[in-house]
Amino acid sequence: MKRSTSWALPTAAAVWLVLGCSALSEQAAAGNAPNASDPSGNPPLAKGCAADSFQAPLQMLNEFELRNTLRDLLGEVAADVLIPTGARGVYRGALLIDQLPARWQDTAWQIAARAVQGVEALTGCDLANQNDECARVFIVGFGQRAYRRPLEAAEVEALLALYGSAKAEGFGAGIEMVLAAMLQHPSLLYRVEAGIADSVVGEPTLRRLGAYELAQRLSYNFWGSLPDQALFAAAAAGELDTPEGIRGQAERMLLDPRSTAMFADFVGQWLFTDHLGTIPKDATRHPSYTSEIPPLLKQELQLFVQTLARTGGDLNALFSADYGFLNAKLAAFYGVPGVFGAELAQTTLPPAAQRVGLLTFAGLLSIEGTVQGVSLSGASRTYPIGRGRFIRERLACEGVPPPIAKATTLAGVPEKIDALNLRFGGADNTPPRVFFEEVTSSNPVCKTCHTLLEPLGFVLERYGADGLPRQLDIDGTPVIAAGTYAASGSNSPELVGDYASPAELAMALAQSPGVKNCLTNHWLQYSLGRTLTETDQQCFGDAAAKARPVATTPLRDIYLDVVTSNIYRIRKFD
Amino acid sequence: MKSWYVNRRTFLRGAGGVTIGLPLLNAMLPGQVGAQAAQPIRRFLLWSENNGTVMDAWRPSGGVSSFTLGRLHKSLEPYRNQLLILSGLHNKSARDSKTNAAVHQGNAGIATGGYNSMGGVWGTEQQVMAPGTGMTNPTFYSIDQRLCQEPHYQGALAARFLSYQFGVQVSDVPATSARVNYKYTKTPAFVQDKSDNDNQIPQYEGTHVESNPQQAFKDLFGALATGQMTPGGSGTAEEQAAAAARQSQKRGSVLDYVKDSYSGLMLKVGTEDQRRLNEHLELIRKLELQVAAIPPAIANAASCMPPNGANLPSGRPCKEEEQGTLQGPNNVDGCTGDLFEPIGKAQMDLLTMAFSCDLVRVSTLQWSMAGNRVGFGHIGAGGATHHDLAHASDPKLEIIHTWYATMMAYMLEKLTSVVEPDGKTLLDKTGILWVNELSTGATHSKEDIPLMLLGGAAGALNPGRFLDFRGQDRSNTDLLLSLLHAYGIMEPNFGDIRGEALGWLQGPLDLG
Repeated sequence: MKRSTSWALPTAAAVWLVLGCSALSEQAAAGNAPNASDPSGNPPLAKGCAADSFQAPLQMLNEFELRNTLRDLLGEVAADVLIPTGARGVYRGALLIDQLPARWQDTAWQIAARAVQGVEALTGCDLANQNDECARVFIVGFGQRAYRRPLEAAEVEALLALYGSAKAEGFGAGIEMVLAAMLQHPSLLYRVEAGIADSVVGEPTLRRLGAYELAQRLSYNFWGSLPDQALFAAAAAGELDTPEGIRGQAERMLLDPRSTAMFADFVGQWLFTDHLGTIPKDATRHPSYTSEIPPLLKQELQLFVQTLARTGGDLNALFSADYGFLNAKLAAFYGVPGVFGAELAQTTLPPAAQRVGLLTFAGLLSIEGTVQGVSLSGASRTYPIGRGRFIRERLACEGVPPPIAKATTLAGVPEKIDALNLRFGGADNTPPRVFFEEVTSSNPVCKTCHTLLEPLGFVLERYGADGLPRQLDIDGTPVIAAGTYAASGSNSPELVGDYASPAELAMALAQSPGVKNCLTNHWLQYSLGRTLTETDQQCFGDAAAKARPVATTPLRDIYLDVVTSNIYRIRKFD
Repeated sequence: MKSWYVNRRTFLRGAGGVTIGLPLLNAMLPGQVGAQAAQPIRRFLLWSENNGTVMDAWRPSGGVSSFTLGRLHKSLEPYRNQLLILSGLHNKSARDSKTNAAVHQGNAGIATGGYNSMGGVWGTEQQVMAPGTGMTNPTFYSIDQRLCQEPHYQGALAARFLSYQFGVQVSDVPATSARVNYKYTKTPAFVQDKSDNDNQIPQYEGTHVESNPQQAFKDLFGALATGQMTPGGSGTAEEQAAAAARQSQKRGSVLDYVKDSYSGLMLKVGTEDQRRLNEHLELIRKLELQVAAIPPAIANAASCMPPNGANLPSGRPCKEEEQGTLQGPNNVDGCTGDLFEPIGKAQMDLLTMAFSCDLVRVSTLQWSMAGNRVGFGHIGAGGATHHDLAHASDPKLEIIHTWYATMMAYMLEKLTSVVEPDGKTLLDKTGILWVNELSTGATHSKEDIPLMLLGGAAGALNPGRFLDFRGQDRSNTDLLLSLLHAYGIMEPNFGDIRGEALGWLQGPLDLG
């Protein structure tokens, strides 16, 4: 009852919105109630959970998923056919359907023509004794994988008819028709979900997803491709009708190497590491931060999160680990002796490296992007503003109002900036603490927000713009790695307070329910391919997930709690 | 009816999406020549650059017809009689959009007169925007997408492309900062406007913009290019034609199946999914029409010369953050300023031929996106990216915007070089709307934005003048409505439905 949580990610309007406590407590009560309506032990809908929260956009396969799907269906024949676009949205890309049918028709025929050059291997049918029955078997088996669900009898007949219309020209010609048709089918191009009618008591617009639809969600979430035989078998056997069954499959998929690409994708977006290396560091101040370093730092963070998730690591480990993932080049960058080879391997760092979990990875602290709001450092100086904002927004899901237009032209501000530039020799040489004292906290308009930012970022001042530990600030004075998490009408009041070191801040983050919820929230958004509103969190509704002690919650459970939750398994249809 | 000349070096597209040699298509050869004079083909081109400009150097001095071009536009001097320069208009609906510090969304309003709000749609906003700060799409479609709904503004490829949007390093993610074109539909999606009492506002989605000249070539000229003969390529012309007809028949049967699949599936899913699938189905129906249609014809024997696709550079969509590079030449990855010009020129060449061959009549050329950080070190405007120079009101901005004018001069030169059978140039028959969503980058000002119309639009425009609307509080939406009328579409309004009430739309401007 002490804590209120807003899952609203920052919008100008919702920044200061905080949910009342009553909804959460009702929800907890509902979560404990016996579930009379569902014999499989599925949790009921939480009170306060609105039907709209189960809306989910129809997902077309994005480029990554389409490539993987074609590869898993047909091998490499399609590898060079797709024109790379690199299209991706927030946590989820979509192929754009503009003009796509026109292009895709040509591409589908091209792929089909290539695939039937090896039609015997593809179908397992003996060309010498080609027969319609073998074609039927192929259509049924291949079709299930292509559409990620068993084909209906009428669908099999329609495809057989296409086969039949061309088989006079040869078995391959018949199969080519089938492939061209399947490749253009909406069930291949989209992740279609029809749900099970009347499956949510008292909510006519809501439906539970069917087993094959859930299998499809899971496989595209974790692997970016179609389900494997084991997952199809689990769907067929009814295993995915219960939370336990889903959990078991999801855990298997998380541990499977096929989830590695997902971790790279998710971590790159969640922690902004996709922006690493966008702008080179100042070669005078940070000569060791060469262009080879950022990709390695990005990979290190991916391996860190991925390894924790696969080996049972918890939030405590996430925020306190004293190790990294190094190869010879990265070890030289960190100044760690005795590491050889090109592969990144888990390595305990010496105390001098000052590694205290996620917050202290050079791959995080050195990020500079060209887009507003993603930079934690510049080319030659730290950005405590960006670091404070990162902790609040990315780790605690607390809104920070966006900068106001023309902030640098507010009365008195330009003069103060000019004076500092003169005193220190430009913005790149002005210590952030001085800038805060004399500019951003001295103007009442600026101060409102900047109190939330720099004092928090100052805790990490011990790490320079290259993310490595340092003793001196850019003006030669000793750095002070202490600061404050200021209250903000806050989603995570447990974080509010003074911190004398990065380790203290890390420990607070590890124990913060708000931080755990925020991580869950990011993963939910990645999984659902959409943003969440504050009411949506009511529907997450997993009492067990909420009951876990924060710091010892395994990262893996955060991933698994999401896929067994109602909001993942129920969809709105109207 | 149109009168079609056929270039004998050109292969025409036969039924069924395969190429067939000319001898089979005698039936396609010229129809009546006279009709063309009665209704000349009129084209429209939307030309978009971003980050504002240097207004003092942009604005002409002098009177309506006795004007002297601004410093940026020296390269346009030879074309001064083709310019209709419009000063003093405000990008009002974008200016008043509830997007606070998200200052780079002005693209969404510039050609739509639409408004956009906070509270975005996941997956459609720029990747790095904090969740929830994403913008909604604008509340209206763009003028080009309206024009190309009219049969008169549809070219021979209408079954595939009612319009074609060329990009130069434009992101594939249709963020509002990365799109000026928004699709026309009678049934837009509606979303809650979180910043306005949860009111339901319509949403028009951004179109695809093609940044790869090779793909654009394939899209537009693929059907005309030689060397695509399928299947086999051997045998007599008759045998090949028979094989092509058979292939066409197969494509038709498969399309029937695919169409039925969409219809069948739509019965099972929710209404929003139905809408998406139906949108896809409509595009497939167009394809089907094309299977049955006569081949696209070639408008002009002398000037329709499809370019050689093999010589085109490959470009690709670039994310904003990729464009913060100031590296010199030879960055093969394709998202640096030094490749801006070669890719842009290739797109302009393709665009000119797409107009000349009458494949499309409505098009767009979009240079990167709002807030872009293209590096211009290679033309002497280095040291910082375009965006950062704009923020600092750096003197180097003049170099960049002078360069943009030379690109427009190149476009005008290309369009002038094509002389149609009636003796008029393509430029005489094209109207270009040159937009920039901001006036001054440093302040993200959407007041008094730099706008220009170019070309004669087959009599619809009366260029060679400078119209100064400063002090009259008129808007880009007023201009869009004027343009719609000039193009013969006499609708009473354009832009957001509340435009008149909110002062964004007063009525058409007097463009003379």
